[in-house]
Amino acid sequence: MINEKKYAIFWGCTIPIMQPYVEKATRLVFEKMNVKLIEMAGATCCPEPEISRMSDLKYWRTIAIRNLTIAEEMNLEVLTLCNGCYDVLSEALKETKSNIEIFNEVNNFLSKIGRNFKGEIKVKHAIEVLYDDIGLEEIKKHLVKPLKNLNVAIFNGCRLLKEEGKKFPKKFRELVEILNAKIIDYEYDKMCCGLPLLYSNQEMAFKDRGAVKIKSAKNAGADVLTVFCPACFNILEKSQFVANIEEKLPIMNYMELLCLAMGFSIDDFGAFLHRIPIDSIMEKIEG
Amino acid sequence: MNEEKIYPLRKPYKNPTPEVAKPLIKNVFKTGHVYLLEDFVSSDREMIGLEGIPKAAFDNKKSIEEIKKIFELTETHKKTKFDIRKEEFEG
Repeated sequence: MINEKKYAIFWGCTIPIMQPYVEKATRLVFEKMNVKLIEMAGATCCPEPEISRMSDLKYWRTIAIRNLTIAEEMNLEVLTLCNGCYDVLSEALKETKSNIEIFNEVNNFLSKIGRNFKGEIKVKHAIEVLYDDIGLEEIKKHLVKPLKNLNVAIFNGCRLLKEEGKKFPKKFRELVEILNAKIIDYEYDKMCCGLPLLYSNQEMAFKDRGAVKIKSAKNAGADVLTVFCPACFNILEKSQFVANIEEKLPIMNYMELLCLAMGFSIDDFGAFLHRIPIDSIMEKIEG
Repeated sequence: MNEEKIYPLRKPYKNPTPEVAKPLIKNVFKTGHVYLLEDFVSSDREMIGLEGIPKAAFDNKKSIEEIKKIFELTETHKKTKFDIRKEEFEG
C-alpha cells in the first residue's frame, strides 16, 4: 500500500452530470489505492475549450485560473480525467505563468472577486497520476480480475496526442495492458472524435468522425472502446445512435475497466446507467 | 495584453454569436457549468451512492457570482452581445 496521496479533484461538467458511473468508478479505484480526492468547492466549468476560448481569451483564462486558485488554497495538485479540462487548465496555467503581462492582468481581474493567483500549482491528468505517481506495479497489486477475454480499442483523444513530451499514448496503452486485456489496433485511432466539428456541422461530426471511428474499431474486432475524456465518450456513444449503427460498440472510461479489474461489480459503480449496455462486456469478462 | 502576439492566426470575434454557442455561454454564465443539473440526474447519482448535487458550482452560489463578475470585467458580455441583467442574448 502506498502512502496516502491527496489531490484536488476537478471533475468538470460532463462526468458528474452525464457519466456519474465514471465518477463513482474513479472514487472506488482511488479509495482502494489510498488516494484521497478532495473536492474543489466552488469550481466551475474549466471553461470548456471550444466556445469559451473562442469567445474571449481574457474571460476563458481568468475563469480557468480562478479554478486553479481554489486548488492553490487547498495546497494540492489538481487531478482531472477530462482531456478538455486538462488542456484548458494546463494551457491557461502555462500562459499565465510564462507571461508577466497576462499574470498581472489575470490577477487584476481576480482581485475584484477577492482572489489571488500565485502560480504555484500543478495540473495532472489521471494518466499521469496513475502511471507516474502511483505506478503500474502498485496498481497491479490491486487487480484481482484479469480482463483477459476482452478486446479493447484505445482512443487517446486529440488533446492528449498534442502533448508529445508527456507520452500519454504510451502510458495509456500500458495502463490497459496491465488489465490483461487484448489491445485492438484500428485504422482511425488518431482521428478526432468529432466534438469541435459539432459546432459547425453536426451531421459530419457524428457520421464522418464518430461513427467512422466506431466502425473502424468494430471491424478490427473491438468489444469495447476505452477513453479518459468524457466529451469523446459522449460523441462516440451518440454517433452510433445518429448513424443508426445496429450493433453498438460500448464506450467505457478507463477508470471503469480498472474498477472491474479490481473486482468491483457493475452495480458497485452504476454501469447499468450506460446508454449502450455493457452486458456483452461482462459476459466476455466472466466467460 | 495584446493577444495577437500569442495567437497571431486568431480571427476577431464576429457577431451575432452562433446559435449553437449561445446555450453554452448562457449556461456557464448562469450556473457556472455547461450542463444543467436536472432532477433525474440527481436521482441517478443518489441511486449509485453519490451525492445528488455534485460539489463545485452546482451547490455554491458565491462561485456563480464570481463567474458573472468575470464575464462583466472582461467585457465578454459586450463582445457576445449578452444582456447581463436579463441573462439573455440581445436581439
